[in-house]
Amino acid sequence: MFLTLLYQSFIRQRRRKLLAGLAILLGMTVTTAMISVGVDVGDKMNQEIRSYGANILVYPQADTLDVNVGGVQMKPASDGAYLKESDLVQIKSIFWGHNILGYSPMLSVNVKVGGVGSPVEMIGTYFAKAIPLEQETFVTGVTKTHPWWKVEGAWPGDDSNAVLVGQKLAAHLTAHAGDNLYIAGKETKVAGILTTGDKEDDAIVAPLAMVQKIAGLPNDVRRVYVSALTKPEDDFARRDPASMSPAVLEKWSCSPYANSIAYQIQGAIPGSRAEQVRKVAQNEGVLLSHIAGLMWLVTLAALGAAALAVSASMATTVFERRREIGLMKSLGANNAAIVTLFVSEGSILAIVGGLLGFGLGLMMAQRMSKAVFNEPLTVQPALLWVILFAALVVTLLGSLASIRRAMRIDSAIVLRGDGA
Amino acid sequence: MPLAPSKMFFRLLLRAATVRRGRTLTALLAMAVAATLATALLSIYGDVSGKLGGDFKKFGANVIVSAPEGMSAAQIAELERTAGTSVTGLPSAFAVAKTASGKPVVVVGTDFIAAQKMDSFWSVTKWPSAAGEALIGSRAAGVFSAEARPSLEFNGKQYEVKQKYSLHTGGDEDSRIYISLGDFEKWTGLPPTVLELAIPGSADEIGTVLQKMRAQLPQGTTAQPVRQIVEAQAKVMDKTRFILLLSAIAITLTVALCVLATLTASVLERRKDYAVMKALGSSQGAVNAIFIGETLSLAILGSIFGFAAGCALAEWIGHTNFHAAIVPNIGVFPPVLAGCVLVALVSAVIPLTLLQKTEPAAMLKGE
Repeated sequence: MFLTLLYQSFIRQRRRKLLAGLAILLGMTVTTAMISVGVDVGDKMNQEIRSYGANILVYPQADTLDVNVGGVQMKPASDGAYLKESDLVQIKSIFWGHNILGYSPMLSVNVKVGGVGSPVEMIGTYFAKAIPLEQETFVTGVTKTHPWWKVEGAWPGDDSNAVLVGQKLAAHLTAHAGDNLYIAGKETKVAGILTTGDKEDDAIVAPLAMVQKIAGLPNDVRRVYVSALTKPEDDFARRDPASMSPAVLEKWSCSPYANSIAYQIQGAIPGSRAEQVRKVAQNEGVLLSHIAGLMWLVTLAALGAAALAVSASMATTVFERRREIGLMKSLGANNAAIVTLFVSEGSILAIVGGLLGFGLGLMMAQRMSKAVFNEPLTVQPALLWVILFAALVVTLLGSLASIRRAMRIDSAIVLRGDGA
Repeated sequence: MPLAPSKMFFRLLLRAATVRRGRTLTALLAMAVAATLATALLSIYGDVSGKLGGDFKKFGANVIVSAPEGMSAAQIAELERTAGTSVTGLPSAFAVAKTASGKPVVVVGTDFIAAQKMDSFWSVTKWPSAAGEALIGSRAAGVFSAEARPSLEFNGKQYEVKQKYSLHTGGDEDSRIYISLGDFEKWTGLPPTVLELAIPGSADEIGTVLQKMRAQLPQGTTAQPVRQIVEAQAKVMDKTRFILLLSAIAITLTVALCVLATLTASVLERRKDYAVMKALGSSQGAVNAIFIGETLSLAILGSIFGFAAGCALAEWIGHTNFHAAIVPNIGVFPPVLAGCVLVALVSAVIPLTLLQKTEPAAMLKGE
């Protein structure tokens, strides 16, 4: 009997049920989309903020002081200590290796360039060097750590003998991409003109191997810029690892703070010192938490909107069926039977609407992610249960008020047609 | 005595609202919630650049003017004026000095008050405020070993550091010594050569300011954007605003559709009233006016309540997330009101056209 009632209710009131189901569907679509995007936006924005460049700097522990003013290095080239290029691959082997998005070693040497009187700084680095790791190949270089560097022409290959010429220096030399320059007595091809807005505009940037050869320092680098995905810093992150007990140190190392990643890099590369670049690391954390917080609040607003949509449509369905309820009551149905009927109807609508809404919401979130970040979304399958649960709760809460009213209905009055 | 038509109209409106109080309140609530969400989202969308702008500013200068020949105080003031109101620049002068043991070290003369504001990421034990006080970069500290009042030498002239404070940034600053610009000029006689500016606004706005600045710069002086900062800011800001816009559209559409459904249903429910009015001889125009008048007054009331609640919501979100209020923006009200009125009109017109096709007698019989 109960099932017949339920079945008939859906068959006879196809349009009403469709409308209520549609409201749930719409609400759950928006909720799914916003939660998926909201959960993902932290990671995606973290990647975007990495366009601020390296947030960790590694240099030799025994290094002497840098003496440069306005980009002119006054420290003798022979002065100071070096890191071994062959050790750098260890950066990817630390506990948080997957969070390392890229690193660029740098080695500078002053060279004579045909057409310029004073010596010119020549910086050797990786552009997009493929580093073979155990399971994959890791492509790293300034294209990852210094995303604001712009090249007119082409990036040189990391094994080539071509170089980039800084924009100001190129203007002075009237050099263009494809020209040849005499650098350190050798004819060298200019692959492109580099604009950075910094000291590199006055320098020549070349593949690391080429600079090592000119400097006579095979396998040596002066400093390494590392770009890592990090967690915003809190009080715990600022503690000094030297003063921690082993248990606390482990917990500290297991959080991807800029400080703990730097500490691990320092441990992985012999004779090195790694530090967070405070300008980038300190501020990106604040920025990130503000953006993520904003998205969560907007997601809450979406939930509110969905709840409103669903409960409004549920309230109307019960109200419209007060005659039916009156008839059931006069035929002897008790309140429990009526409540069960409405709750079952609501649950069926909620589950169907929730399922479809979940699917549509994921498609919508995927679209948003593609449009904004140009990257697909990572789907959390567990979200389905959250959405179904939310759909049930919102639907039942929405019909609560009207179900209570349904229980109070006086069958005689309603059947006579005098309002509720 | 018959009532005047206009009085009758208002009476019908009022009675319709008070007799079916529950239904009216539900519809009003739906309208108000929709207006609240729309107001809050629009306010946040409008203000997010300003709020995040504060965060971006902490990344330090985004434009650097360098004059190898040096800049006078008047020139600096003029550049600051071009950069915008309330922009203070950070002038710096550089020299390579020698310590007592003969090691070279870069000494920078700077304006500590401006530096404190612009470079909030500098970690210092204390900001110097008196003459003779200096910030020693964490790597530069090594060159002094244990001297309590180390002295520096430049071109044969001595400078004594009376009080040392330490500075840590993880960048180039760590290998330098910072003293006040006044001390520096007295000691070395060198003028500032670099002026750092933090110009507010988007990448395009900064570009416009740069154009203006370049026009007034003397020969040999250059103004360059710090591309690292400007480009990343543009990227992050665009993405945030875009995603916020998409969310706002999705949410507003949902609530608008839901309000539309609620209002349409509430008009359809009253088909008997409609039929009675028609049966009593009222014209189609008069009936339409009554029903549309009802939903319109709901829309206007709802958007006013919703606007107030939305401003409060936006302000709360501003406080929770940015620790700064999102100021109520009266400019948000017209679009919210227009949206509400539009939804109300559609939700009255759809059922009315449906009802118009039916005979009043059939409706009254209950078919």
